[in-house]
Amino acid sequence: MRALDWAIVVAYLVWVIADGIRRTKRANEIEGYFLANRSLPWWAVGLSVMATQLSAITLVGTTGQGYADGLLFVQFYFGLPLAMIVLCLTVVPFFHRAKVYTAYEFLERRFDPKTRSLTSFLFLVQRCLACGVVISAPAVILSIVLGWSLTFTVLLIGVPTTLYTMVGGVQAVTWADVKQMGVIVGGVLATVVVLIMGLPDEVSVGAALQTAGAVGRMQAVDFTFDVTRDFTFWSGLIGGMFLAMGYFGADQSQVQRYLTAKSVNQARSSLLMSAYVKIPLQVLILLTGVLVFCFYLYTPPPMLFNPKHERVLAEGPAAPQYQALEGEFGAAFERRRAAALSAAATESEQDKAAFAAADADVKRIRDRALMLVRETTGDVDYSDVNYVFPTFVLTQLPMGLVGLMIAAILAAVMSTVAAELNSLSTATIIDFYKRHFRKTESETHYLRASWVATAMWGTFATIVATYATSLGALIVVVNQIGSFFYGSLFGIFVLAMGTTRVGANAAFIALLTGMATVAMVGFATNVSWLWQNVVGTVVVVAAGVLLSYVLPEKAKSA
Amino acid sequence: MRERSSSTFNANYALVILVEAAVITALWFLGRYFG
Repeated sequence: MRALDWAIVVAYLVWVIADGIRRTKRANEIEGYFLANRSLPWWAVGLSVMATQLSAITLVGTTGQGYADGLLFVQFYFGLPLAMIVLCLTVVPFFHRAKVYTAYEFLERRFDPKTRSLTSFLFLVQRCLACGVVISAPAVILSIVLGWSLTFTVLLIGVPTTLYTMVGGVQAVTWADVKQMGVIVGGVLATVVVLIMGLPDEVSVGAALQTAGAVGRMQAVDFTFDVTRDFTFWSGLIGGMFLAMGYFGADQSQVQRYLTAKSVNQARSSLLMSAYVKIPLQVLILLTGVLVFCFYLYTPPPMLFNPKHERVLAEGPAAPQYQALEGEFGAAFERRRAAALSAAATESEQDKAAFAAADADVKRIRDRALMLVRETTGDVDYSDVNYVFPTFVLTQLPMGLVGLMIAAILAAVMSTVAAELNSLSTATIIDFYKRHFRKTESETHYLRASWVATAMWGTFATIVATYATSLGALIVVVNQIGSFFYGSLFGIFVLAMGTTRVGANAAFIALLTGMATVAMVGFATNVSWLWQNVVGTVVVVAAGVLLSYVLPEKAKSA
Repeated sequence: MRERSSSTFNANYALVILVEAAVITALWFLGRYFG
């Protein structure tokens, strides 16, 4: 990075923090601090909802997916618009009319304190560890690609985010999210322009995409029905719909976004913004990855996109094998380049087939290099897909745009982390501290406690992020456990809002049954994780209704 | 500001479904055209 790029990154950080805090009003009251006095416009809330969901893992990982596999990953989002409609018709009016601070508070009104405490506790555990991963994954990539220390990178993300979230509360988070979405979309669009301009003069965008299509990169929809496969039309539409209902309807980090809206209809409009924009936005990000693939058909790519492992191989005992592979890779690249130019010029099936064969050769050599990394480092799951986009940004974008894209990646992390810290603090204070320990304190007292809670969660997430790389498999397990309870959690809200006869004990046992069933399905079968959300919701609702006949209780209305 | 009526929202929900169907169809054609 050069001076101008650094200046852009620093200016971005100062702007986000200063403006976020400046726009904060009446944050000296608990409702202002946590819910902006339910006064924010729908478009700001809508952009905040999208910025919270779009983390740096999404930005960097999705472009990498586009590069390696093409557009198929977009199917993951097919259920989201339908989920938004269901939520607009159900949980949004329920939460707004109940005037709750947290989604789990609603469950106490409808069921009992233990259901509220369990669901809020599950949220806290899952979300704080996820928050650490959300910081650590891009921090590891940025630190390697930019040559920064991991601790510095984690602190560069964690400290400013904790600071503006702590001081400004939800208003600072929302207004920062609005700017961050602008930086992310602006950065991606500018990158697309550079990518298109970087194609050879004789290759049009259409011809480049035809070439990418010859190796399956342009296929976006797969109608195969197979519950063991992760991304098909059906898993995205049905499994993705249940996942989105669980995430947007039962996860406080999202529920709190639309609780800040001025009215029920403004909250609905904010969710409908995602319903309209999310799929096109993901197509844009995946297409950026496909264009990076097209770009590297004509410009020599590195054989390995992770510079750290490239150095390990080039300077270690496997150096002779690595050098031989590099020679083969260079020759295979030249053959593929010639084939890609022919395919782009003629668009004939024969030339496309020749290009596909040349591309398979390049992929085979790269796979051997990746295998060499796995053997040398002992990391059996190693893949460098997540390094493709940052490496492209750093080595191919012009000065200034590098700074903008690094700011965009930082924006993607910070917007997600800020919303998560804010919601962790809200659940801690409202669902536990105020509910169980100090019930009748002053506004000032709760406000100070909220600052302390935000600072505590920020520090904890930063520490988890620093050690996340060495925790390795544990983090994977934590994420799997997290995905186990989304469907079940949404099921409990369906019982709360959709039934009148299910009582507190039946609901509580149904929740535990749902999570246990999903855990069994997850460990004992190879059913894809997207379908586990459907299993969780269906089992909780069915178990709750059945148990209500066995355990008749006097139902409460929320 | 006046709240929008529920019929406006019902139309909006229908529009969401129509737009999604159009986007998925366009993506499918994209795969066919460039594939």
